[in-house]
Amino acid sequence: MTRFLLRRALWFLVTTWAVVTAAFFLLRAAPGGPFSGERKLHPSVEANLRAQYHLDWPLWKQYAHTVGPLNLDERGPFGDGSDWFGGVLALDFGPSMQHRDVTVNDVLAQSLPISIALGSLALALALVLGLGAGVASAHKPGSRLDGLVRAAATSGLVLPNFVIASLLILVFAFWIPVLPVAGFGAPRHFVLPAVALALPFAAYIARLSRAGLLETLSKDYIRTALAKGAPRSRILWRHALRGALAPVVSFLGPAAAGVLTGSLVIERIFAIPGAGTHFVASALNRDYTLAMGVTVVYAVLVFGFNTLVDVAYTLLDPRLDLERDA
Amino acid sequence: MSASTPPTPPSAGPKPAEGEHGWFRDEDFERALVEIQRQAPESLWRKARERLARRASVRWSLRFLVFLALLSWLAPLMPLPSPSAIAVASEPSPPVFPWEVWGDTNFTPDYAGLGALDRALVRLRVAIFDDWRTGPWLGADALGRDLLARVVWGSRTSLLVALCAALTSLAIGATWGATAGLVGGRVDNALMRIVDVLFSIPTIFLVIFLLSFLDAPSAELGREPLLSREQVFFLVVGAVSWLSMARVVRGQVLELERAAFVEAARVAGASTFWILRKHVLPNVLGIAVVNLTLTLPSVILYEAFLSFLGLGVEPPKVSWGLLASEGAEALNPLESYTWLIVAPAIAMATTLLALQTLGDGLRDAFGLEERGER
Amino acid sequence: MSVLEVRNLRVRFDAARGPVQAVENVSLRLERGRMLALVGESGSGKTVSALALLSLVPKPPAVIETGEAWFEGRNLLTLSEKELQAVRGAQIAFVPQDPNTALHPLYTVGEQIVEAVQLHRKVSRDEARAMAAKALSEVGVPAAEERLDSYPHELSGGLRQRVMIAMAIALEPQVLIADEPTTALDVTVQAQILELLAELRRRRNLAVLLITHDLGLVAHHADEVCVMYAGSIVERGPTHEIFRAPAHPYTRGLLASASALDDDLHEPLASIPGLPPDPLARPHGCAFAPRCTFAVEACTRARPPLLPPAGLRALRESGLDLDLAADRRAACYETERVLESARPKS
Repeated sequence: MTRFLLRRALWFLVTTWAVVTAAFFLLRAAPGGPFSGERKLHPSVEANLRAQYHLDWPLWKQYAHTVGPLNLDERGPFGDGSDWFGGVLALDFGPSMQHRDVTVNDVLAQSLPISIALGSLALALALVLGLGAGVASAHKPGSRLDGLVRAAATSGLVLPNFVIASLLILVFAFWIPVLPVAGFGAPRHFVLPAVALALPFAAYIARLSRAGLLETLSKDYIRTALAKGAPRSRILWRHALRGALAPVVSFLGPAAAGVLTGSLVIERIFAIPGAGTHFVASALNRDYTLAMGVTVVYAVLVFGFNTLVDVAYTLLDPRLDLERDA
Repeated sequence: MSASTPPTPPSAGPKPAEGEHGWFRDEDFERALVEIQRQAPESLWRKARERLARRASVRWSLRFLVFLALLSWLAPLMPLPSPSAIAVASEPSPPVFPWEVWGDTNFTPDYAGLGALDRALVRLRVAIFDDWRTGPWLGADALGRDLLARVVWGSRTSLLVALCAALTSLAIGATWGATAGLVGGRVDNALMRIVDVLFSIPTIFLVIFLLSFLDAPSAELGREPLLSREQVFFLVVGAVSWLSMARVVRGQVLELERAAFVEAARVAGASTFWILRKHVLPNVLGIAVVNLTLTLPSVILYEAFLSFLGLGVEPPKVSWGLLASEGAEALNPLESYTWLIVAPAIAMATTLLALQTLGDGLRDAFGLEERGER
Repeated sequence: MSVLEVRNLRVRFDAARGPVQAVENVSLRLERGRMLALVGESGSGKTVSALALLSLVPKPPAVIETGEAWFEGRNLLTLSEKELQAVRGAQIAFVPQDPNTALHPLYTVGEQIVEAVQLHRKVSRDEARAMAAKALSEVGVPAAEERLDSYPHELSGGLRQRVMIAMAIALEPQVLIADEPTTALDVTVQAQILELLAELRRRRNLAVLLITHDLGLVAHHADEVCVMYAGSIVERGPTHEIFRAPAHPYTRGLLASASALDDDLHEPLASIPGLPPDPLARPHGCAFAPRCTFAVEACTRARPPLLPPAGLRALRESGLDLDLAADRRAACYETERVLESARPKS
């Protein structure tokens, strides 16, 4: 396990480096810059701004400064020495170029917890809903309940999540006004966004767990359990589900990435001040530092979650050996 | 084994499974025979076709998709109003039943950026229907544009983009995966590591950058962009969605190399090329077709997602994703213009449902399993 | 005395291509401390018969048409699912064909045996664990206490089958049904497992129903043999009688093709010509008639009933050591000719 995690850590560094490098050069290769907005700035003002954010430096120096861990700023090791370290490796993304007087770290500290809360809520909801529906469906294949679950699961996969969100708003906020449309603060503000975000993934998990359960239920060891005298419900929950969980768990990695992507849309619809809002805006506004920060954080989250999923996978199946397969 | 024969290296040949005492049992032989018959390429495809034809849901999906493809291709020929024709209106107008307003005679050919074939189709339409147009059966949006026309025209963009993106991902993914699987060794390792790394990069990040990057010259320099937004879009989406295709194809190739019937063919003296053409290709093609069918819905959803973020097609062009996001934005508690979102949602849902059903049917027909990766 | 008596069991499978009569009028009697071998090739209905007793066949497609299975004064086939659950494992235990797939791969051996115990006995985890360890050591698993924490994939095939048997006997059942318990194992291990079953039968006074396709395997241990062909029992009797004087041509063929242990090795192995009939279109008369060298015209007209075979007495008078057991039965019109051909050449 330790060796596996060490190896993962190495790959984590490689991936982060790839993300940072790709983001850095793609951003700078894209036409326009952080200050070429609608308002045309006076050339001298713009030059000043560019100097302030070190955009006048040669590209290699900007890159080294972005990656870190040494702070190349005058205020850093070569200036009055306030800060030795900076850049991504030092977890310091620098000042935002659009939101003046705020650092990227401040922006993230404010918005990220909200996004993470929403995302984990949605993921948990997807897991509970999906597994519940899958088990209910596999309990009696071909029954009316099974048909209902399958229809619901399919419809969750054929609509974009903003349409699902809109329909939920239409029903639960406009027609039967029980929940708030938008806003942020109270727990009930989270209900509709989390449900809208979770539904497509719940649908997919329901399909996966149903198929997995039906396959597992035809295994020999299920007959052994029957021959032991185990009741059907116990066989379903204890014997079959454990075997059927593998595809669901391995889907959680892509699902986490999908929830992050989906939250861009959901946060916008429900006016939730999460990090998703900054994702698109910073890229379009060429806010180099903020875009870098958001991207790195998202990549780290996805990578971390995938590692977690792999560990969970081994705990689930004693036959797997991470040391060997890493 | 006599003393003179060199000891076989432990890696040579498949290790006998536990419980197998001899090197050969007649059950093994029978199983191999059955495998050969079951997996022979001709029968694989024939059986898949038979299994497909047995399902009514698959037949109906296929019919619907053909109908949809024809409808979207022949959209200029339909007696619809122009999708971008603006009528002065203060707010969206609700749908009207066909038996209340059957049609009107105020059609004006107001189209932007049509190809030669489409222009000919429009001329034909005018020749046949003159200036008659259908009534506002699905209502109209705030600019008075007819929703039915927009949904039909939107299908063109959505379907074309989805098809191109899926084919791009097929081309890249299948080549990548097949190379990794066939060459094996270090190359395989390197290629699949790259896929792993790319998998952990949030794709939306790449899409946004590539879109804004490839798209920008038109806005900046005021000249025609090299590629239209749709072309950029399908290239980008195709380029980022090939990863799972590569994994699936590689897995299938590796599995086939070990399969009993391939070994049987090799023992029977078949050449590598023969095995590739007769056994590997048909089987890999099957899985690729399944994956392609199941990629189409996700691309259509992705297009909608990007439209919602303002990165999709630009007016006057229209797509389902654009319509749906316009519909979502038109929702408000005072006056809900439900039809604006319901119409594109239904169009999208039925199409995706048909594609999903077809894909599931194909997968079952080829005897493949649902995997936990998308 | 008999513990389990099966009468006229009929099982049908509603397959996609049409109904298949998997089991036709099978009657069996299991007695304490005795081993009954149910012999037949795959598809003969032997496994289905055994599984149907405990309603372990998947329904649908299986349908138990008629039959009774009397156990402790109750007919198993009319019990509710809940009543059956109390019988399964606790009173009638089952040892499956392939221990490699019959153990849950994700739970330890101990967890699986403990579950079996706790399903039927109100005991603590520790007590159940102790019972599991005791059962494991009884079936000859070395270091039983430690083995409890092993996963199935860490054990050899033979050990896995011992685990399955331990799980089956942990609750001291009266009846043990073993479905081809040695097919998936190495030859050397096969004999050990069979020896173990025979020993348990003696020590625990168990009634064992052994299902197998290998007639050679049962020669030393089974007390009684039932031979099945195409869903029906074609011959039954004490093992040594059947081996000495098979009265049904199919049994005769099976014996001839079984790797004759003490026969001349240079003699070529005999085989039964042809294939078993398509279960969807069984012949009207005797199902074996198309492959039978003894078949006469009557065989194709009506199915021969299971009766005491004629010609046994003549065979004993010719010098063959036979008990002329009362429960000897064969379903053949031509037993006299079949037995005649078994007469030792003088």
